[in-house]
Amino acid sequence: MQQIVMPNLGQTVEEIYIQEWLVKVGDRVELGQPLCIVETDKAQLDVESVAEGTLVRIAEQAGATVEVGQLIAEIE
Amino acid sequence: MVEPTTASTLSPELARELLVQMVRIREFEQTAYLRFLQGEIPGTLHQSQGQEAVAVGVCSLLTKDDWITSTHRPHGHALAKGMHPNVAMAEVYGKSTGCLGGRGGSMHLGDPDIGMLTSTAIVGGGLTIAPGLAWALKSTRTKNVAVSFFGDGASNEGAFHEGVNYAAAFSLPVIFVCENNMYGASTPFHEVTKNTNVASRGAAYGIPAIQVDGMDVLAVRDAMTEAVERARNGEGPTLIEALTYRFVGHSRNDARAYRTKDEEQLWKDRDPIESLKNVVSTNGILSDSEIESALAQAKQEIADAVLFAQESPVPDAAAATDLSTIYSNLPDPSAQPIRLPDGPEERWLSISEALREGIAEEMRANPAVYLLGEDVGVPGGFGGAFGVYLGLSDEFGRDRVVDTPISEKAILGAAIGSGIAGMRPLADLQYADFIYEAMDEIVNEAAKIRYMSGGKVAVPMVLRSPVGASQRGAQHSQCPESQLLNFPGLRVVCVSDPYVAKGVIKTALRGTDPVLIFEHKKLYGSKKRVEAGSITSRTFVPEEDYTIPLGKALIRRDGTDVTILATFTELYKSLEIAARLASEEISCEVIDPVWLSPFDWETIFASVRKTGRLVVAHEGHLTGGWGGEVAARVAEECFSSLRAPIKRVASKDVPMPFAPSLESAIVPAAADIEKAIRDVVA
Repeated sequence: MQQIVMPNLGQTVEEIYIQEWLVKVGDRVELGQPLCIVETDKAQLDVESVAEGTLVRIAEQAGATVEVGQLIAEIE
Repeated sequence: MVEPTTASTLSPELARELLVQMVRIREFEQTAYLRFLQGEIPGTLHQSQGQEAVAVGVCSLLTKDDWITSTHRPHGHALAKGMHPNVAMAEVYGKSTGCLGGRGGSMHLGDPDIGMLTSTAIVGGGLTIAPGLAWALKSTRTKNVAVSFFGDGASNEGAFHEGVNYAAAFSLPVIFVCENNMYGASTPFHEVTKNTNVASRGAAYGIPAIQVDGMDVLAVRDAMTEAVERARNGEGPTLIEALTYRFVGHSRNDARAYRTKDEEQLWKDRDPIESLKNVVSTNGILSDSEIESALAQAKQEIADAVLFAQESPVPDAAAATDLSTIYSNLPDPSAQPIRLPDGPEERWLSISEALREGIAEEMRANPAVYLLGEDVGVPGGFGGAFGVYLGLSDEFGRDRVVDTPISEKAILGAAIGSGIAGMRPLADLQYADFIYEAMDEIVNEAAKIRYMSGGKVAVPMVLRSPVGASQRGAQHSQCPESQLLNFPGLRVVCVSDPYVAKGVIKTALRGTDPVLIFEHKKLYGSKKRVEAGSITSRTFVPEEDYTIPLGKALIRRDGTDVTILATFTELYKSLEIAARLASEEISCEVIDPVWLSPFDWETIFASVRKTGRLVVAHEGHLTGGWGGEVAARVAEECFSSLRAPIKRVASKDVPMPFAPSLESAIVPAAADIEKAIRDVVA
């Protein structure tokens, strides 16, 4: 089980808004594949997968505002 | 002339190896990046996705007995030179199993066992050291070469000029490999130079240079094949400029807003891995399944490396202060303070003569010892600025008494590199003021390499240099010894008499740490060059072989009322005053610390506990002078023994003026030392 946490996307950004998930539970994901689109106060960015496998859980849905380091998904 | 490597001459084995190596680097970089974003990796990352063909093309022609120097972006170089991905990844993670035990991190990968010097994160830092590595390879008659990787940004560093010229002047087997990725961090190269063609700069140094497509691993190999052949044949250095591109930012959190997406796409379309895949696939060198298996192998290695790094322990905090990783040579706890021996008058030498004798004896005993500096060996020349080396080039030849260009960075870089690779260099700077030209080599490289390598790479090198005011003004008078105490990793010596001079040069040349030896111009006693205001410092110097114990002070006079700690001319002023005050029943103990690093605290503390009073006298400026450090430490350790405040006598905090009347207003006079002594015994 690989936990995916919200990466630190900028030196001053602490809270990040999840705009849209690009994958759903049960999908096969590749290393580096964009998982979701997020917004910071500076830019719109992709969060890329750090693991290969099946997405088994989305911990924070689109529309949520999360902190850097917070669990957002799990891949098995 | 090398025939270009074409599809028809590329063997399946080599094709597979090149492919695995490049994919290994790409996977390593991409995986580290994602793990970094997940918060698993501390600090920062400088990555090389897109530049793989340069690292792999160059290193595929080297063996582990060839050296490379690398940069702040070293992951690709390390893997291509043969570092196991596990130890590379663990180092990036800051784990104890990393190649440097977590002392280096992402910017400082290295391992002498694979021929990779701990990479330097100072832009251009390797450019002056590679010629030194090459000097040792050439002197020991190997056919090995040194490669120095650097970026376009480094080509505008002074180190580039000094290092390339030095290698060219001595036809050293160095290959300078510029990875021109068009940006120094975010600054476009073309904005900061009128000549973006780095290869064209080779002409300035009279060496062959070539520009190659750094996205084509086979083109890089072709250029490198020719350069290596030239170097191994003794034909000197080559400059290779590889045009390449990093697909990612300079470091973490670099959103690359300074480049257009179109530009990035243009280069991504020329991805070196995809290009090689196309060549091997369309020419039937490897089958699709062979390519797939190569990719899978590299991916698996990196997946394993991440697991290895994640599961490895963090370094134990005690490892941070392990002295044996900072210094190769530590003081012998049973060594006693030095005493000057007595002997027949014909063996009372000057400092100049004693140094020459010690150096010559070491050169006879050890063929690895050699001298390098300006004006040291030219027939009919100076024999060093103060004649210390006169006659040595006649006996040892100019291959071992090496007249260098006026390039202080290159001199120190050559000393460091050649010392690391097995020589015992004795570098010379004509005036200690010139040390500031080479502070990067001394401070960032010589002082750090052993520690960063976890004690695996020793840096045996000795530097001699004259200090002190002697009617030469502000830039030929300084005493830099105090400043150098602020850099752990260096040994610092002040030579004030001939007995120490001969012994300490032997101690230094037989040790394996960087030792900086300072001498005072007025104390040399050179026959050829007598300085105004010279002081006779002749002492008995045994003819036989002896060394000076590391980190021990020299007790020049025993006393009970006051301890005087002094170096250079202040030592002689103090001895004279001490002799005079004896008639007034004031008993002075006069100590020459000799080593400022490691400092003989034990002897000083014992003396102060006996006398209860301390005067420190040195010519270096008062503020930040080593006397301040001594005063603080003695106050901390011997407070209850002190019967008076500690006094410091030093040069006033003024740049040294030229006119004798002005100069003597700055340098401490005998009267100043005497007043300090009378104040504390009052």
